[in-house]
Amino acid sequence: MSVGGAPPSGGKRQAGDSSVDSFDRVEEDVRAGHLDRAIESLRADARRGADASRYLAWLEQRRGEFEASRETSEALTAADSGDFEAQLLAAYAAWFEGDLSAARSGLEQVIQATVGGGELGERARRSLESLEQQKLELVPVAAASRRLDSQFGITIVLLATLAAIAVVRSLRGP
Amino acid sequence: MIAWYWLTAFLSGAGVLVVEMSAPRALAPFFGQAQFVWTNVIGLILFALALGNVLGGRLADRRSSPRLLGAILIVAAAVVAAAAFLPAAVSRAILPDRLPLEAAYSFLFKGSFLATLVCFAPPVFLLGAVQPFLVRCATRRLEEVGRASGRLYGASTLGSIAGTFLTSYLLLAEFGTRGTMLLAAALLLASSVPAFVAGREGTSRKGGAAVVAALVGMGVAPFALREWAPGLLEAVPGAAWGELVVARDSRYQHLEVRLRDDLALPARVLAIDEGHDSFQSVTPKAGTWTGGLYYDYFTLLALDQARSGRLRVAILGFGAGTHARQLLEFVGGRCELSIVGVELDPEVVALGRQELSLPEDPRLVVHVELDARTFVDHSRERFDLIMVDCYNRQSFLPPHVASLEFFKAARTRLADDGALALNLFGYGARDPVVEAVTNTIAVAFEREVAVCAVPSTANFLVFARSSGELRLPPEWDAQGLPEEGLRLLQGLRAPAQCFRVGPRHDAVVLTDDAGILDRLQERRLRRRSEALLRSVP
Repeated sequence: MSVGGAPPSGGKRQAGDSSVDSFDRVEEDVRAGHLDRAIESLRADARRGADASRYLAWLEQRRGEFEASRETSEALTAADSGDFEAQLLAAYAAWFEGDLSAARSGLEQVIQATVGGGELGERARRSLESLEQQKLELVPVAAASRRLDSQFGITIVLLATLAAIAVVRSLRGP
Repeated sequence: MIAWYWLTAFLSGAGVLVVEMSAPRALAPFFGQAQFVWTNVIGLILFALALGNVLGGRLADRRSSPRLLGAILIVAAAVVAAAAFLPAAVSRAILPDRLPLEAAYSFLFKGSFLATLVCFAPPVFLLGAVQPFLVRCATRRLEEVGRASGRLYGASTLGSIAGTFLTSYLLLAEFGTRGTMLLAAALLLASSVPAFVAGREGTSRKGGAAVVAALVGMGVAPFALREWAPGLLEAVPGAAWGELVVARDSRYQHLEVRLRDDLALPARVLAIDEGHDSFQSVTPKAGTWTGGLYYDYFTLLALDQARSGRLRVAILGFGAGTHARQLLEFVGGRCELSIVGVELDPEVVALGRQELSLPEDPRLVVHVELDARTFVDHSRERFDLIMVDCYNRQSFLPPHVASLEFFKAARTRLADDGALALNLFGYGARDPVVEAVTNTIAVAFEREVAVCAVPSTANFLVFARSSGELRLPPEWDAQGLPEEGLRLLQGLRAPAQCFRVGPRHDAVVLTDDAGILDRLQERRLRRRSEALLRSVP
């Protein structure tokens, strides 16, 4: 899956955000490839606003820190349940972690909340389609995996019993 | 008399090891050849042998008849012959259709265990009964037991040694996996003859003739098979996705060329061993770009490296030549280009030429039967770009081409401002394998490394320079790039698509000594697979 190359939307110079200068430095770091430094700067900024936090969650995702990205996004949605962009980021983070159920429920929430469309709703809808396709392909695999688990379990018990009988008989002597 | 038993012990010992060495190869097209597959095979075969020893001993005490021993060997031969045809059917029953590699761990681990148990444990169990029978039949007095059993165990072990070397160095390459299993059956059939002969009194001349005839028959069998039933020796198609074009067993692995219509561009791909949805080389039906697979991005890096007007490239893990085809087409016209390819498996390169449009070109030299590490350690050449794409077992990077020692040696092979580029597979940039390998390169080069996520894939292009500035894609030379190349470069220039990682001596550094990489690779595959399957009802 891909969450696309574009950072989250939203102006960075809104009230409540960290200072314009420090944000510019962060973006400069990202452009120069210093992702770790950019993430550290944003994390260290106690006064950062929602836009900067969304940007942080997105950067964490790009850096492969999916759990951290999920936490950052969930903190945003806890503070503002109408922050659908953060919800979408949390859903993507769950997807990256391989948690398809959490990703699906997150995407559905965004789609329901953005009824009537919009760019965000459209992105969520496309992602959900792709996720459903992946899930559909995995359903028979998961069923086969459960079958295999029980066959394997029974086999191990049988082999252990056989081994125990062989050992006991060997020890009993002629 | 003891000579006949000695011969039976030798031949049956060889048969056990031929079966054991062939088993992982027979399972490879479905379950791969990961360490755990070998562990399952060896463990279960030893378990079956042990059970056979115990029960064979009890049976021998009740009825120590050489004829019964001969009969056991004949049944074992029949079961081995059946086992030559079983793995495909059993594996297909275990594996679901279109199994993606990222969800496959449990199938590969548990499936290979069950398949070994069904296909290979029964004949080995029967063969386990042979040794105590031989000891019982060959001894008449208690004071002979030590000497007789010593000789017979020695003969059996010598047979096993012969079976090991013959299977690895001759039989698998010459006759394929199924052919080798059928030869093991012939071997066991032949080993029953001296047992029968030993059971008869006063027929030593006729017996000798029968044994010689059996041995000659066994020696002729493979050639007869090749002549009259070549279909039996053909490689069995495995679990890779797509329409089969050709399947082959090489000395090292199972190879398949398949036609895939589900990729960005319909293409022929080379799948190795279990394959599933992954592949090692790709040739699109039309054009040379691969529709955004990682090969395309390596070529963009090569184009940037070619700024000086000369590009000497080494491709380690040459495969069937996807990188080389792109370099010849897109870089060859812009600079003085020379390519040295290094590939362990000659059959892979042969398939590249026959099925995947790898051209003969004076600018391209491919060394086969040569390990990438050996090449780097002993080459005297210098390169402007070393591309490392050495994978075995699909997503498994061999530890000896991902260690500090390897990257340090590779650095000495780079010209000034030369680049080392590595294809890394991983679930995100914090994937422990991606982190460990990236840090190892950074420590070996004592400088920053660039990590670029290949858009919409689980591949990373990781590169470092021997000297000079580490240029990221936004600074790469885009002049004169064809339209598709420009589009791909734009993807790599997206914000935060590429980033720098510096050396960290307090983080994992992979060395030749520490076998940590295999553990990391196996653990991530297991965790990914479990997470995915857990989240599906």
